[in-house]
Amino acid sequence: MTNLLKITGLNYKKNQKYILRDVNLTLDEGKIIALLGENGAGKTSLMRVIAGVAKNYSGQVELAGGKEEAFRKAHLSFTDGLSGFGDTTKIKEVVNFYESLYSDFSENEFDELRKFMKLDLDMRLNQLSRGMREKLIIALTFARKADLYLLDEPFGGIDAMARKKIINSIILWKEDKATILISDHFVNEISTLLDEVVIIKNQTVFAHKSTDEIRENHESIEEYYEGLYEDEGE
Amino acid sequence: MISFSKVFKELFHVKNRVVHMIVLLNAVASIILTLIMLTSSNGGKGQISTGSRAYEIGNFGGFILVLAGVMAMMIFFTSAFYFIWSSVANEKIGRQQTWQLLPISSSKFYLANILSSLVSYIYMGLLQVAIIALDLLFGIMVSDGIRKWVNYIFSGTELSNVEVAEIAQGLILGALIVLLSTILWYLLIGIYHYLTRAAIEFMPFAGNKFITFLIRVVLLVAFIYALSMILNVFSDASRIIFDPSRAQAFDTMYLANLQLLILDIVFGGLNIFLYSRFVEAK
Amino acid sequence: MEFKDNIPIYLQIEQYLYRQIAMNELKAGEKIPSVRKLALELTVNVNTVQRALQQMNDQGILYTKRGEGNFVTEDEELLKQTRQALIDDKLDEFVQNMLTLGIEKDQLVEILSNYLEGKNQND
Repeated sequence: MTNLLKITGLNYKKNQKYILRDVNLTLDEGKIIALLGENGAGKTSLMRVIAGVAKNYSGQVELAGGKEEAFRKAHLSFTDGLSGFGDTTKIKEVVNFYESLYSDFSENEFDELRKFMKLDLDMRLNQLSRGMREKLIIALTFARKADLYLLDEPFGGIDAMARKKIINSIILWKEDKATILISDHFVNEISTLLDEVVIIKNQTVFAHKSTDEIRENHESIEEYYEGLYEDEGE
Repeated sequence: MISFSKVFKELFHVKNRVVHMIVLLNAVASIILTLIMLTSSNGGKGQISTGSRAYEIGNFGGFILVLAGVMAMMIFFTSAFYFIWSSVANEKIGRQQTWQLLPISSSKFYLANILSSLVSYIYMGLLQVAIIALDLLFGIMVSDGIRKWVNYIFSGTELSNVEVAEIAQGLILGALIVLLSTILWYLLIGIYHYLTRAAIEFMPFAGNKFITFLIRVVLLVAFIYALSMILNVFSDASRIIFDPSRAQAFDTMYLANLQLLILDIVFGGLNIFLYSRFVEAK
Repeated sequence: MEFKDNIPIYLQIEQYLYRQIAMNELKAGEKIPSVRKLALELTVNVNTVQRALQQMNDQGILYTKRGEGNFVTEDEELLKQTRQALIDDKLDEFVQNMLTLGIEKDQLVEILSNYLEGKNQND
């Protein structure tokens, strides 16, 4: 198994407070990994550091053998909040943007995903419900051929049935060698999909286990996760 | 990895959308303004006079010429408006995650952002000049009077080659000054923005509105003070280096261009450093 | 398919496939669905399916033809054993359940034939 992502000695501070401290993490290629932790634990920050949009950190982040930000960005696909587009932008205009700038963006793949999620190219961003917007973001994220997919709470506004459909699409569209890192609250829905879990607690990687390991101990992923917080009392 | 030109093109498109909107609004507003002006001054004379010659151009001709004049005046407003809009847009775009996720180095992106605003600005100017020229051309075609008047204007002036060269040189130097100062302006806004951002994120009080405001004010004052000091030192130094007794108009312009260029390079480099190192996506 | 969350998924996939084979849903020598297809059908990830298939290959119930996929063994003996193992499992479960209900082992046969007879009459 080759290392896809290697983080060593990562320290990230903001307002004189440590958000991430002494983080060391290695992810292999071809795995589906959940990033778990309480709200504010640093999951989003970790993803932002990997994606190169959080700055001024110390330590090293290496992806697919390269350390520079631009190189990493070329090899990963991060769920983008679409902040660069105005409210009245049509979906097809968003697609044009991605199509012209990313050479690994496949308009065909996007089209399949979009039809799967029942999104219309002429819809404007401000006409989309929260769930539809999230579906669009997921479609855009997976329409790119990347080595690492970073999904930051991708399912928040999506109902259970749609979530299942989308998870199915993830299985379909994932290349064998690509790694997916998902941070989400709905562990249960995706737990059968996961190869590994990484838990962020106390500003660092508190645990990194394979799901088989956890289940061989007769624990469910949720039980294992909640067990880590038991000594904290209610 | 994306090439600089691809990113530049896309940013250019984004800014041109606003340019087109401004130019369109300018055209419509100018037409309306011209109509108001002509109807309120009791129809005008339908005549244009230069020197001792008067030409009959009719009401329509009058409209065409006044329109040209109004649009020319409006350029001042459109420029100011675009200037302000682009300064704000540069900073806004610079912080948007959609753009920051592009596989291009921060320094290249910063340059593409600033330059696309500049080129858009030039494009807007050219577009407006072209529209005025079209308007006049139209006037020449429909009105004999205007054609004769234009002929008269241009025939009376015979420029020697030297004079033409001087005018050209003056125009070019003047244009360069405008361009370099625009860049400098963008850079100054940038540096203020990035220093405040770096300071705010460094302070141990996250999200405190008062502290943030205080930082902004303090930095603004410090900034203006530092800037005036730098400019003073700079102009003193260059005055010593370049002999003041030769102060002809062109030399002053060359000097100004040089000063601006140096400032642009210095602040540009500083901004690129600050932007790459400290400015996170929102 | 619903999976228990506290038993390794690959084990559950194996159990599922073993059942399919024992019930003759997957016949001797038949090609089983591709890894991707299974993953989609069962809503699990490809790695997990691969691990399950690898184990089953090691156990001999499946074999791989290079470039063609995974096939059920044609070894009748092994298939019979597999079927028997599953039947034994269920019987074991039945016996255990009856014991917890207080039925003694020597009563089991009688209880079972009475039950079956009753069902026959009702059908």
